[in-house]
Amino acid sequence: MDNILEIKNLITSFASDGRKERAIAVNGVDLAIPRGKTVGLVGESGCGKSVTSLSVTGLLAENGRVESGEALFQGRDLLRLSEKELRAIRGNDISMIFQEPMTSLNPVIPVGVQVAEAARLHEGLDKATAKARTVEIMRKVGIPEPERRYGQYPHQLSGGLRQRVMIAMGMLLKPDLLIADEPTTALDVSIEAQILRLMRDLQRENGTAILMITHNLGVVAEICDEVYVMYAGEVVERADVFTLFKSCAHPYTRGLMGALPRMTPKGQRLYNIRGTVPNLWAMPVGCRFAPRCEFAAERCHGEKPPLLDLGGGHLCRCFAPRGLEDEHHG
Amino acid sequence: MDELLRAERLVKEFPVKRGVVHAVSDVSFSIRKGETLGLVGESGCGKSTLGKLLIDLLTPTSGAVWFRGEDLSRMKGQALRTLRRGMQMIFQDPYASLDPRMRVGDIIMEPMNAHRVGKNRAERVEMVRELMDQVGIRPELFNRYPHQFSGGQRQRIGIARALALNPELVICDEPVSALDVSIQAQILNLLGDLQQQRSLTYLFISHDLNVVRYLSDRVAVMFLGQFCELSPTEQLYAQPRHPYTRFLLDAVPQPDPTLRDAERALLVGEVSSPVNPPSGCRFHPRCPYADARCRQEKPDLVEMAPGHLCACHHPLADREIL
Repeated sequence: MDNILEIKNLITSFASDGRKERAIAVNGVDLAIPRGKTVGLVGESGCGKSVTSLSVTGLLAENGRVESGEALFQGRDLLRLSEKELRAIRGNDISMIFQEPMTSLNPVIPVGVQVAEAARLHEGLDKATAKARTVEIMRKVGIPEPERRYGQYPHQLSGGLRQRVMIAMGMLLKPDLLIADEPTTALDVSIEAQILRLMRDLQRENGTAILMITHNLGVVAEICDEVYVMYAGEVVERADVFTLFKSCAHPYTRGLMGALPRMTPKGQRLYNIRGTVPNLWAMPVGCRFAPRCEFAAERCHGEKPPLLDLGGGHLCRCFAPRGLEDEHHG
Repeated sequence: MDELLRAERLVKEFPVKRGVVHAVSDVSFSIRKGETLGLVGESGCGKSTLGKLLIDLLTPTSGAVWFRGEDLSRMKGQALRTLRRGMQMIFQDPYASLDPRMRVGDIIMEPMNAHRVGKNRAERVEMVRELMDQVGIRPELFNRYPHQFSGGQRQRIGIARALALNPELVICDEPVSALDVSIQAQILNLLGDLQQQRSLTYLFISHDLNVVRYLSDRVAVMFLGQFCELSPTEQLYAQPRHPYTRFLLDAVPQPDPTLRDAERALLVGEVSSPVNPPSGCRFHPRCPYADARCRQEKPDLVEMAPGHLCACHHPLADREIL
C-alpha cells in the first residue's frame, strides 16, 4: 500500500507543574494515511488527536515530548529530523490549517503578501508574478474582491475569509499532505460547507492527502475515506467511513453515534455515555473505556484489549466488539 | 395553546463608530406555555440579542415584550421584579458564567437571596441541595468551587441556578455548543427531563440545526436581525419555504456518508453586515431568486400553511430543488 504518512507506535508525554510524573497523552498510536486520501481522526477533547499531529510535525508545546515511535513521510522519519529539516517539510510538503487561522497568520503583514511570499519561495516566482498568481488563487477559493483583500491584514478579515486564505496558501504550495485540525469548528454552517468543498477541490486537483482532525462526525461523514477513533490517548477503532457509520463495533464509537441528535424524534432520549473521560494521571488499568462502558466485564477492568482486526482492516480495541455479538444473540 | 410571552415589533439598534448596528429589526412572535421554540441563525444574526431583549437584560430601542399578559416596559419596582423571576437564562460558556470565587452552592443560592426566597439560610441550603440533586450534581459538593468541575458539570450548575427561582420560561443561549458530544447528550436529556418535571417553556437559541430539531416544537430562522421563517419543526425541516432556510439545512454536514454526494444547494458569498443591512429583503444579495421587488420591498411574514410563516416574495414551492 502506498502511504504518504505512516505513524507507528507513537508515544507522547507532557510535563505538568507540580507533578513528578509525565502524563502520557498519546499512548502507542498507529496511523497510516494513503496517498491522495482523506483520513479522519475523531474523538472528544483531550483524547490526544491534536497531540498526535503536533508530535508528527514537531510543533508540540515546550512541555511536550515524543517518547518513542516513528512517523515515516516520503521515506524519512519526521521524529528524527532537525528543526530546520522539519521547517522545510512543513513549508513545502506538509501544510497545516488550524481551528483559528489567526494563529497561523502573521498579524502585521497583509494576507496577500503572506500568500505571495509563500509562492515566491516555493515556485521561485518574481514579485509581480507571485502577486498575480496569489490574486488569482484568492479568487478561486471564493475570496470576494481579491485585489482589495490582498492588502488587508488578518484582523480585517472574517474567520471564514481567514480560513480561505490558509486554503489558498495550501493550494499554491500543492502539498502532499494537508493536516487540518478542526478547520471549520469556529465557522458558521454555510461557511463550513464552502470550506469543506474547497478542501475536496484541493485534493482532487493536486492529489493532496488530508488528515482531518475533528470532533464532528458530520464532517467525517462528509469528506473522510477512512476514520480512526481515539479515546484517552489510544486508537479504539479504525474503519473505512461507510463501515464505521453502518456497523461501528467499539462501545465508545457506538455511544458517540447514539449521542448525536440527528433524526432522533423529540421526546426520545439521546444515548448517554455515563461519566467523563479519565484523568491523564489516573488512567484505568485495563480497557481505558471500561469505567464508562455499560458492557464492561471483569476482564475489561484488569486486562488491556488489543486492537483486533474484525476483517477488511476494520480494527477495534475491545474484548467483545458490538455488532458481532448482536448477531449471535439475534 | 396559551401564550406565555409575546414580542411585539421588537427593535434593537446599537450605535457604533461606523453607524448603527441593526441587531434586531421589527421582530414579532409569541411563545406558548410549555413549548420549546427553537431559534436558529448564523453568527451575528441577532439571536442572542433577541434572547436578552425578551428577559429584559437589554432594553429594546422600540417595541414591547409581554410576559404573562403584562407589558414589561410598563412595569416598575416590585411588580417588575416578581414578573422577571418567571424568566431565566442559561448561557453558552459554563466557564465564564460562574463566579470562580464563589462556592457552587452559593452560586445557585444567589438569586434566592436576592429575591428573599425561603425563611432563612438553612431552608435555602436545603432547596439548593434539592436542586443540585435534580440536575445531577451530588449535594455533598455544595462547598466546592467552579474550577473543580468539568464543563458539563458546570453547565448543570448554571442550569440549577437558572431554576433557583422556579421560573416558567428559560432562555437557553447555545447551552451545549461548548461541550463534547457525549456531554452534550447528557445536558440535552437533562433539559428534556426538567421540562417535563417542571412544565418549563424554553426558547432554545442555537446555531446547530440538528440539536434544534431534536428539542423544538417550533423553529424560527433568523437572518440579519429578522425572522425569515417560523414553522412547526418537522414541517420546516421537511419543507423549508424560505431560500435561506433551505441553504442552511443543506449546509449541515450529516453523520451519514451515503448522503455525501447528494445534490445540495451551497450558499455563496459572505454574510452582509448588520451595520448597513441590504435594502428590501436582507437576504437578496445572496439569493438566487432575488429580483427588483426583493431589492426594494421588505417581505412580511405570511402564513403559507397552518402555523408555517415565511417572509419571502418568492417562497419555495413543494419540494423545489434550487
